[in-house]
Amino acid sequence: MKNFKQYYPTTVDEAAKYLKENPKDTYIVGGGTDVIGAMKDFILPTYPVALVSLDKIPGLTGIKEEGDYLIIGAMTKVEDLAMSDLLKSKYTCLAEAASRTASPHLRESGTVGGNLCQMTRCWYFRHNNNQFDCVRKGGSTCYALTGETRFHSIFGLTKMCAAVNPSDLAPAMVALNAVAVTNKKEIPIEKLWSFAVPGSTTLDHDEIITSFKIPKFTGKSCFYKASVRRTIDFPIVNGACAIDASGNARICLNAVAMTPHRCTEAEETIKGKSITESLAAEAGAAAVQKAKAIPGTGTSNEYKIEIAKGVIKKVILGCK
Amino acid sequence: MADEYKDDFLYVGKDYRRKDGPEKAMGTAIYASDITLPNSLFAKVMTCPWAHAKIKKMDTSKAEKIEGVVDIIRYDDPRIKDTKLMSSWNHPFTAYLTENVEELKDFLPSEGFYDGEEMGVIIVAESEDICEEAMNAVEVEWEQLPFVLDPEDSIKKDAPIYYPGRETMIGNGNEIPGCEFSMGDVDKAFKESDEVWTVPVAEPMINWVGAEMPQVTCNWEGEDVVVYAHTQQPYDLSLYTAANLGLKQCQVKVITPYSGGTFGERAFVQHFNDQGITYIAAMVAKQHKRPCKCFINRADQFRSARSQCYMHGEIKIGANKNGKINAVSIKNFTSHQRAGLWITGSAYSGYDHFTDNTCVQNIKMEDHCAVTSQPPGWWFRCEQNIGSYNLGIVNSEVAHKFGLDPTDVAILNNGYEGHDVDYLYNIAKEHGLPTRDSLKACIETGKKAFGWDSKFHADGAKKLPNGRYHGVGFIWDHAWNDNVNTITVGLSLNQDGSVNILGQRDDLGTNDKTTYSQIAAECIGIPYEMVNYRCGDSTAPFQLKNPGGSMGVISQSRGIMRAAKKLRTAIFDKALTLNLPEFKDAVVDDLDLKEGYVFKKSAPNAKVHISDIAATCLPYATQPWGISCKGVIMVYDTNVTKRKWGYPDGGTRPRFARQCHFIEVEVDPDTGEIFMTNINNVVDVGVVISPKSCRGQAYGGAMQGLGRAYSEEYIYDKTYGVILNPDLQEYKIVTMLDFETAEAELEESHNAGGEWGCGGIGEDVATLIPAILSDAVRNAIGVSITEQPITPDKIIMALKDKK
Repeated sequence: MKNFKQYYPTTVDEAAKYLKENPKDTYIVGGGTDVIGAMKDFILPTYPVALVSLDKIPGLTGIKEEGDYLIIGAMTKVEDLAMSDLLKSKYTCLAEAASRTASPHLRESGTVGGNLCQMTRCWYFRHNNNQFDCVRKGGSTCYALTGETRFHSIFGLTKMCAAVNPSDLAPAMVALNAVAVTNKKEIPIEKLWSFAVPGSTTLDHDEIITSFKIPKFTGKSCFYKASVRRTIDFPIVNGACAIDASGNARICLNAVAMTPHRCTEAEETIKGKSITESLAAEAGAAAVQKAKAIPGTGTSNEYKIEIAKGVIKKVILGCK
Repeated sequence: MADEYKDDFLYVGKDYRRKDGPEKAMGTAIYASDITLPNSLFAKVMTCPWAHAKIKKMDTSKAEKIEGVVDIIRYDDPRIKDTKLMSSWNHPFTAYLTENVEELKDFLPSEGFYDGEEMGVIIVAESEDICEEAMNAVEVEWEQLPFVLDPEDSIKKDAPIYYPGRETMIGNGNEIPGCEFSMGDVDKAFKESDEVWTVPVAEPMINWVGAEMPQVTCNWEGEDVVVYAHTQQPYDLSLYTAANLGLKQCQVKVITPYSGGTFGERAFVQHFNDQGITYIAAMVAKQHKRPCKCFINRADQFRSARSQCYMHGEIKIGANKNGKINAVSIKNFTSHQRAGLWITGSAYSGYDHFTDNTCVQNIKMEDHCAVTSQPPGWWFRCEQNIGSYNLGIVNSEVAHKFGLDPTDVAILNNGYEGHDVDYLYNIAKEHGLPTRDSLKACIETGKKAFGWDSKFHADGAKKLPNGRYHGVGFIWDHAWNDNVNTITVGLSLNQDGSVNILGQRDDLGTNDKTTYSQIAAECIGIPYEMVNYRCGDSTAPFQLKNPGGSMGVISQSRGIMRAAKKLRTAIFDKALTLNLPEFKDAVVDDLDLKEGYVFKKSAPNAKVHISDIAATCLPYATQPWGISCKGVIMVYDTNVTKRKWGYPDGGTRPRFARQCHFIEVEVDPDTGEIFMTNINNVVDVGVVISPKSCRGQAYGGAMQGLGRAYSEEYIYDKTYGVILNPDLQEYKIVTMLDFETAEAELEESHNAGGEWGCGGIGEDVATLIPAILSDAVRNAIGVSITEQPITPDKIIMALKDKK
């Protein structure tokens, strides 16, 4: 990789200032597990001159219930979520999602904010040295459409891009109705991700997530990740379901589209009903009614529709 | 019988701490990648980014301006005009491998024939990072050319022809003279069978996935060059390097530190990732009068590495309801680049596990091996994958077709060259070898350890409370008993009575330092602690393994045994010259050596420590050597029956030892995920030399084999012919969390081919295991999936089709 500078601001404002003054060639780095790899592979649109680390800014870590919310610092390590007794007991799907993320080593480095803001794993986008000038890089072609789509979107294209969001924490955050708190505003979690190409989020370049707020939760929740490997793997499809004490459900799939996919059809299916295996299966079927495979020229992603159904069924049954 | 032999051993069969364990565990072991000489330059070679492409125009001006770039060597650089590298066919060492003749390979061509082929330009810089940055700054205008990825497509009439005019090719010009084999009357046997059916088979193209990347550092000492390389063949690398540089071989010294994973891939010095990068490092070091390290990064390694060939095809099976296999007809298509080398190896391996291990009398093999835009094929992680896979799939198919226990099908069809198992063990009996039915013993042990009888059930019949289907699988084959024709091994006696095993460094991570030391201690009669295997460089006089790995312990045990006999005689000879009272009136045959003491067999209590004898061997205390002797093994003498077909040398190798494996899985019908909950490996290793090593090799082999069956594969974009997963994230090797438990059971029949009847383990387990997953998944879900890897997409679609 090329040499680069790394700044260690001690306040969020200082970090934002660096970013604002260098709008094109400065990137935020949390744990570094995403951006450093991208730099090594030379896949960023512009190679960063500098990284702005959030590591020395106090107050960006921690997990605590405060008032009506659970507050999670954006720089909290993913492993801390996986190990948190509070999350395991009350925000189960989030602890489960964290425990299925990457590997223990990566989780000890990767942060919650970084996991939610990571770039897509599309192998055309990630191909070394920007060999494929895909639409996410300003080109006019989504190479997956004529290529290998086995891990790509089943809910259509986003501005001609078939990539998917790979985050494990994202569906759990959506199910728990989280809010991202930045140095500029509060963003309902479903609005965090962008359909825009080439960006992954709706954040401004100088906008920094400082924490996530989750309304205190007293219901049941469940996360499931279908993957090729048990560890160090991104999801084929993952999903989470949270059913609050009043019986209202929020269900979300991920790795099925460019942004996490809220499954309102599934939520409606189970609303006010006792959860049974057949009801959960019915909800799964409802969730993928609008799904459509992209055949490509390799392994079709048609199977992902079936897995998405299965994941929905599992996370609903997990809340029983 | 095994116990009788085992009782005689003092050092064999016991567990000792690995001699290389502490330094490897503490991270102090030195690998080639650790070696960066002072003032070293670094070099990186470009790889073709497309399936088949030619450079129309190259602009290196931006790269030249990057600070730290020292030199740029382009394909059109006058300094390398007409430079060629040795090909596989230009040297006597490999001349026997094939009758195909390929021209010398251009050193730095302007045309690449597959994604990842080294070509175009070399960047020389002050650091690896600068090399990478400068390479990224090289601008190339490419002319993309037609290509083909599938070997079946490659032999079609309208396929692009890769090497027009090459006389040794057949068909449309892309097909390599492959393998046709026929035994018995297949058509007649099919007609006489209760059932005849055809199954598709496919094995993915896989990478060796070594932890350490290929890399070489070269430094000149006057007119001589020293090479520090990550290679499995130091001697051969010195040979090719000398030829490429126009040197005498005695001017080249190849030093091989520890190797971070080789698996056979680093045993092919003809490939650019060996001889090519060595030539670059040596050339740059010479021109710039500085050491030079030429390196390959992970992505380029995935793309440029020789691969285990992609194979697909079908097997037609004819069998009776009792499980007797009457006929097998195999049709394979295998892919290869740089046609010729070893591909016939993969072909004959497609059927020979039937001829070697079964009583199936009617066998036909048709292999079409064709040039494609995939990397060169090579036999790392075992050349016998296809043959073993085919045997495993057929055993499984027959069992499932007739609802039989696959262990019963195995026993029924066990044999040799179309004859039953009695014929096989009559051969053993005739030659004074043990006659224990190895397969029966392995199955009995495995069934008990695994609990097979209580777990085996009809296909798709057991659904667990967690919603998953439960399945069990079984596989069998011969245990590894291959042996190289020639090895040389030296033993040197030191002044204190300790002994060094002399041979070139060839570290495969298999605990060879410990195992060979145990064998030497046993054979010489000195304590284990008094033996060490300190490997030398390519100028060491003894080439301990050639190649190692597959045939390591069998070959080495015989070599060490012979050398030890000579060493003992030399020690006894010397002892008798000392006029010691303990040996009064004795001759050599009267003496014995045990636990480090020499004594008369008739008076074992009057003994002399070996150090007292060894010390007298040195006329001067400063002289660094003592008694030395060289033991040579030329041929493993199992030529007990003449084979009329098969191997190029016409030889034969009846395999008396067997192995079998049992696996338990759960398959999630909603997600297609496989959960491997338990695997029991049972291997007849003949004699256990080092129990820990054997078990470690079994576990490692199980992991490698499961990877191939479960998740590993190169994924290509078929439109551009580009590899999409050249990294450890998307190329998915299995991890320790992918299966819950593994147990290894070791059988000792004393009949596996090496000294005392010891045999190999590790590679064989890895080779057998893939087919077992197909067997277990079918038992779980009731659907046959014989095209691997068995990823969730295949299971989901198979279940969907079943509905």
